[in-house]
Amino acid sequence: MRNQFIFGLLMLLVLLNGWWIITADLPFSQIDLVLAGLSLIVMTILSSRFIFLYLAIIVLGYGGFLTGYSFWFNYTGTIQTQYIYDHLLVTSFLLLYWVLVHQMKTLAMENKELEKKVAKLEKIDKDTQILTPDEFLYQARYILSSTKRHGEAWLVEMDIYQKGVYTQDNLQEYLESIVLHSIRGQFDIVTAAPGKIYFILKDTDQAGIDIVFGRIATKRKEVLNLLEAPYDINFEIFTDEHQLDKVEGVLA
Amino acid sequence: MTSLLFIIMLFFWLLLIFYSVMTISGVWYRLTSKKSVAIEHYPSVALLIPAHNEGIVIATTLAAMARLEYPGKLDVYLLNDNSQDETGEIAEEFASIFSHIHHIRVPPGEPKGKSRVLNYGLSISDSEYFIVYDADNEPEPDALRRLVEKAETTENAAGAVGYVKTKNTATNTLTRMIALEFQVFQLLMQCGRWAAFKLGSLAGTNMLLRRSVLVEAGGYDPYALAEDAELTIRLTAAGYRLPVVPESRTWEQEPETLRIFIKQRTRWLIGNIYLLEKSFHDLSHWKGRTFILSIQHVLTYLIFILLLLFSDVFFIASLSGYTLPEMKAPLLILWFMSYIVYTTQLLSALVVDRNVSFINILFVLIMYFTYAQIFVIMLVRAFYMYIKNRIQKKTIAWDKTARFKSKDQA
Repeated sequence: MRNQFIFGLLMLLVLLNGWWIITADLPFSQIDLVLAGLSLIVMTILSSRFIFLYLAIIVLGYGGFLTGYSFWFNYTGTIQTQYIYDHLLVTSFLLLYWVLVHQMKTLAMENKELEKKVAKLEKIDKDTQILTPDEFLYQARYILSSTKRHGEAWLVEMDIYQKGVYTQDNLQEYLESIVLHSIRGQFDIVTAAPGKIYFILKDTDQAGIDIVFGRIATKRKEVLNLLEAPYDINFEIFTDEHQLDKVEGVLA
Repeated sequence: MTSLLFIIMLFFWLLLIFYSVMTISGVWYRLTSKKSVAIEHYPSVALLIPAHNEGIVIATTLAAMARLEYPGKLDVYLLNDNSQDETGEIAEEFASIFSHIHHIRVPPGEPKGKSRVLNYGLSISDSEYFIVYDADNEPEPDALRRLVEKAETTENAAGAVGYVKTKNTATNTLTRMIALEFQVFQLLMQCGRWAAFKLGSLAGTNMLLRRSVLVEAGGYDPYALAEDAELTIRLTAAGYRLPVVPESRTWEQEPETLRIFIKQRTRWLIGNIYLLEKSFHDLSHWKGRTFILSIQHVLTYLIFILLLLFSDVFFIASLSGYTLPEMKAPLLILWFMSYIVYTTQLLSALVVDRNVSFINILFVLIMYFTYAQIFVIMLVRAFYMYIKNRIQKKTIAWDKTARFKSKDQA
């Protein structure tokens, strides 16, 4: 409600100011109009870092020009007052538009931040039901500390080398689903990044790993026509934080 | 009369150009400042908090101190200067729980004030560095670490100074304007001056100093009411640097009523007049980089406010129909541009501190006509008090700034 009011007010003020520039009968009315129009375009295109810089240059530059002009022709108080009106009209227009653009960008950034936070809070990917990268890393750290006391865990990387033009996403989704249904739902965790699937198998040994890989192979053959597995599998005992750092680098 | 007007306008514009250059340098420094890097060895630090009847704020201050994250040895000293309220009781509770927080009762003595208390704090501690915080401050957990890292990695640094932010900005119009003034001061006078001349100035709080440097300088001047400004001049004259670290932030309370604000700022101005007098007697204040500090001191605390007074007189005179003398300079538009430059500086500070809002911009637009004018009154008051006390050969007493309960406490 508050934002709505501020946006409404700002837009109204920008329009009123613009109308005033168009109708005002001042010594530099045409320059005022050109500056305002040009600035509308430039300030819309420029990245937020430079918008204020542009505003400051125009405001101070135009002021300097008017001051120099008054100096040069030694103008009296009345003409100086008209120049001040000229400057005020342009400055207020630019200032209002800058605030409007800034408010809009702030709102957009807040929205983006919120989306990021929601993504971080989400634990499971809504399409494939595997863990989100953030949640995977969080749970992996927990597993790492618990394996130091009892049992061992295995970090598995599935590197998908099959690169189809149209089927890449589907292939990845199938493989994610296959892995998810091949591991033990209550113990093991899985996540993915484009071209990679990571999973951690907890409290198991080489025989247990072979069983999981066997299940994956069987399910793959059921749904895929490929004779060869479209991926390479690498696995190692999950013992330290550096392994996780590498995974984090890929997932980032 | 025409010549006088011309000289005034010339000074006015020289100052505005100087401040504009400082603004650009400040913005440049903020945009390009590199993140601090961890150092191998973190030296020991004594954190000094002078306190006199600070019962309203001291609990939150000590809570913030307890949250400081510093990898080296840190001791917090609450220097209780004869408090008659619950300051001692609160400090005692913190000291009984945290081994690094100490409650120190400062013995009574003359002259009263922060400098004497700080000198006492230094005499009972023995760290490599010390840092000062006012009793209403809440530094961010990494504030101290960042200052130490900068001080240790800057050549010939006497210490380092951080930023001071206003925690009660939204309370009323006055606190909002003070917050804006602080933002500008820190952008222009701290970051800008450091970027342009490698000059920083101690801000009285969130300031770190190497103990050996202060010992060499002879400690705090107990008669200085603006002890931070006075010490800055001495350290700069001795060839030391004071790097500015905008990422090291502390939050402090600012006066919420005009009466207390005028009282506080008059004390600061008297302190600066004392320093001006000292500078006129001490030639070392006018050599090398110290020249810039001293000349700027004269310009800011004397010339600028006098010029503001002149501009007001002319403004009122022209409003009341008095014909100003003819001169070959467009006075009106020059005065208008002064306002534009002043306002642009304030806006730059808002942008750099990412504090742009509709309401803040409205305040920026009226500050020249309101907040800036209060300084004319305060300077007149400060000069009157200073001269009166000099004639009567009295020492001007230290005057503590009153604190306010926060919304949570009220």
